[in-house]
Amino acid sequence: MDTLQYLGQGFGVALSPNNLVTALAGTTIGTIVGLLPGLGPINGVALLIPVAFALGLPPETALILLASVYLGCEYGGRISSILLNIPGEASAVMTTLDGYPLARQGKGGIALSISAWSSFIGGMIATLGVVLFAPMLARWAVSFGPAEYFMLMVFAIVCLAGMAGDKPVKTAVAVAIGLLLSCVGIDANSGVYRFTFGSLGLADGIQFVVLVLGLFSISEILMLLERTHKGQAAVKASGRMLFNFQEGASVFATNLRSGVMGFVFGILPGAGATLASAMSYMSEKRIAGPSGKFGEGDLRGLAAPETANSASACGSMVPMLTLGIPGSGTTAVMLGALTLYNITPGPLLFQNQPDIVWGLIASLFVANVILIIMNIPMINLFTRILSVPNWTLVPAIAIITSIGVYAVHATTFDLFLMIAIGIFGYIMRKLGFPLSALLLGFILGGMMESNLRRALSISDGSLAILFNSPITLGLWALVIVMFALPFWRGYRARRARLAAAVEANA
Amino acid sequence: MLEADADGEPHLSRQMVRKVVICLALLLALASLFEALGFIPSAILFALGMARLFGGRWLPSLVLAVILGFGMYLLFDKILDVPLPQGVLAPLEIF
Repeated sequence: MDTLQYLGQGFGVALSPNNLVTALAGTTIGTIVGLLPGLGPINGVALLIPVAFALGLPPETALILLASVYLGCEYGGRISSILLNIPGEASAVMTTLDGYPLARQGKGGIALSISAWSSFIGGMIATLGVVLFAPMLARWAVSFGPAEYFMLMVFAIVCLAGMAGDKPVKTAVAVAIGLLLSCVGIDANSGVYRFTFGSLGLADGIQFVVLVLGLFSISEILMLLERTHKGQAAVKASGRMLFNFQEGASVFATNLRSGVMGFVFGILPGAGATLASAMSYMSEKRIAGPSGKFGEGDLRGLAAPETANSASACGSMVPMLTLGIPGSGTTAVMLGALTLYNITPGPLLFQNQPDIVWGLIASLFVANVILIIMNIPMINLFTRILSVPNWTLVPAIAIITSIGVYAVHATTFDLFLMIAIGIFGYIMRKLGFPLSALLLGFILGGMMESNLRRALSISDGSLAILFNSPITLGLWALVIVMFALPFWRGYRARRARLAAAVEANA
Repeated sequence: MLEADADGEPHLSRQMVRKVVICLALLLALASLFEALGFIPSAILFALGMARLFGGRWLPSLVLAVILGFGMYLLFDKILDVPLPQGVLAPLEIF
């Protein structure tokens, strides 16, 4: 019953007038950020960190703000997917498959409301999951030493590449670059300047806000140059604005299945919303069999990715809160925000600062409720934002990005660094490297290094400490399995191709 | 030129490269002028250039740039407490 008591305490924090207004502001900003091209949850959250800091928000309020922006983005991303056929972010790609056909059939209103409802159920299922599993995991993780943490992060990184699907090598390279970038700056133990090239601006390392905004905002602005001409007009959301009981019931089983699936994928480091939405769509398609009209406007095909999306957004809070390891690019940014507040995320957070942890968990419930209430009547307002042309939007985004970077240290050096990182990010994107993997590598890099060093100082420099406890051995086994996964997949694909070729010849 | 990637991104055409270069030049100009000129003038110049680059017409772009320059200053410096450089407008002491 401890959990219930803490949860009550959390609701006390989340429902205080200040935090409630924060959640309201966060969800509104998040929805708008999610539906605009050029801004996703990662840079939306990163942009708000300097603001939260400047306003002197207490840490739990700042986290509530960031979390509600994150959830709002997952709600907002679906609007442009359904009405424009343009996903606002990667995790909304699957939503276009059935959402856009529905809008073209004149069922835009139903599609929007049922996707909002699906997001709501997904978020609720996953938040319940957080309440159930996070304290358990935290209690277990208290016994983790630095060696266990180091192995956990190795697992997270291998997971990233192993789960990446079609391009494990590119993902691995991106993570490695992130790890390298995390080494820049004065080494905390020895005071050696690493990779600073004599520049004082780099002595402090690369600030993660600068990295995030350069990688995601600046490169996105450069990508948007390809779409300077007027995009296609939005399909008008016409017809009934609310789904009826029968439609709601027809997707309910899909909602439940995809919600659980999204939660599980959200917990796994590196998998995240993009994979969760794709996997749940595929599995629903298989379950529906020939009766489904997937790809032509099946409500289940819309409900599955949307439920999984927001479920994984909530689920990714579990590793962040309990282990201090980000499950997605956005939680990586939130983790960075926590360290700015001098709060070390990890299992001890549950014991030492229950207000922060449980306030955040309760605010996930609150934000979901606000979002469903807001999204159904205000949908017309949000769709009007879609028709803002790029020539007004991009200058505004670029200026806000620059302010966000400047606000960190008040030096223009960071602005130049951001532009340089932006150019690099643009080239990486053009070549098909996943930038969120780079970001996770960057965030994990610093933590990995300090944990490895601590472990080695315990063992007096012997690497044997990494093989000493059952937990590290178990993690090694998982690492090997994850490492083998892309090879196994490649082997299966080759065999399938071979079989097909043989059949074609016969 | 860069290769098209798996998502079928179009190849970078000559015109595209020109646009990317102009966009980067604008960003660099903003970064260089940010403290020298102050936020408001540099943001107005930058926004005007960006709006034109993204296909806005002269007059609407100018209006947008002025609104963004002053509006963002008010929003961030005055309301959200993020200090921004005043630059050449500092002697006026209107803000």
